[in-house]
Amino acid sequence: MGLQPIPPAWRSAVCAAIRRGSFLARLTADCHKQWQRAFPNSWRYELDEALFKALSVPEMFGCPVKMDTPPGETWEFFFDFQGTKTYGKVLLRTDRKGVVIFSAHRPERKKLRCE
Amino acid sequence: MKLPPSDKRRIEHRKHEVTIPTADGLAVAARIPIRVQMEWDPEIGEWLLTPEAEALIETTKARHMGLLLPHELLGLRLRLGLSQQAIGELLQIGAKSWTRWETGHQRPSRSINLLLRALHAGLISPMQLRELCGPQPDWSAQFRLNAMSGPALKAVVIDLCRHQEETGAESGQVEPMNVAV
Repeated sequence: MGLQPIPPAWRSAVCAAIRRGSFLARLTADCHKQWQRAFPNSWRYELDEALFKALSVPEMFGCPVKMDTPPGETWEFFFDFQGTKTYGKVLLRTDRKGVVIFSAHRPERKKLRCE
Repeated sequence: MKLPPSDKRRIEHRKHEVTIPTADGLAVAARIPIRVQMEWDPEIGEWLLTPEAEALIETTKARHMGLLLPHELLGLRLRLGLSQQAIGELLQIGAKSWTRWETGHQRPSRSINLLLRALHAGLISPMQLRELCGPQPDWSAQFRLNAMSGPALKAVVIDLCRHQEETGAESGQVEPMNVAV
C-alpha cells in the first residue's frame, strides 16, 4: 500500500486541537509514560510544538490505522522530536475537535505498518 | 494500565510516575510515584490523563528538577519591581520568553534557572546583572596600560593564565612582564 499523504483536513483539525493544549489534545497514561521514558528532559509544550510543526507540513506522510474502536480517524507517522526520529499515533475523534495522542516515543520498528 | 473495557466513563485518582531527568537530560535520574486524576475512556479502552493530572505531573517534575515554578517567577519579578519587558531585557531573553515562563507555557532551561534561583535567593542583584551586560574589558590592553604606569597584579595574573592556555605551559615560573608584553 505504501505511505500515504496525511489528509490536510485531518492535519489541520489535529493542529487546531494541539493549539488548545491538554484540554482538547489528551494523552493516554501509557503514552505519557513511554514518551517520558524516551525523553525524560521534555515538557508537554515541546511535544505539542513538535507535533504541530510536523503536521503543518503539507508533504507529511503516514499510515491510516484501522481500528474497530474508538470511532474517529487515526494516523501513525514519524516526526522529529528534539532531533530524534519519533513514532507518533494520533486519533482525531468523530467530533473533529478532540484528539487522543496514543504514542510519542522512539520507533520500535523501522517502518510504519503500511510501508 | 489497560483494563477490560467498561461502558462507563469515569474519573479516578491513579498511580503514575513522574520522570526526573539527569542533569544532562539524557537519562532518567529518578521516578517519583504520585497519584493523579485519570479518565477512563470506554471508547478507547484506556486511561487518559486529565489536564489537571498533566499540570500536577509537570509541577512535580519542575520542583524535583529545582526549577522555579511560574508563580515563583511572577513573585520574583514583582519583588524586583520589574516589568516583563524589563526583566526580559535584564536576562537578555526578551519579554516573550519571560511571559511564557511566568504563565507556565514554557520552562526555563536548567542553566538559566540557576541564574534565576540566584536572583530569587538574593545572591545576585539586578544591578550586578546590569553591570555584566556591558562589554568585557580587554585585559591585555589594560595590563599594558597598567604596566606602563605601575604594578597591576590582577591584570598580570589574568595574562599569566591566558599565556598558559595559549602556550600549553603547565608549570614553572613565567615572568609577568614577559607574558604580557
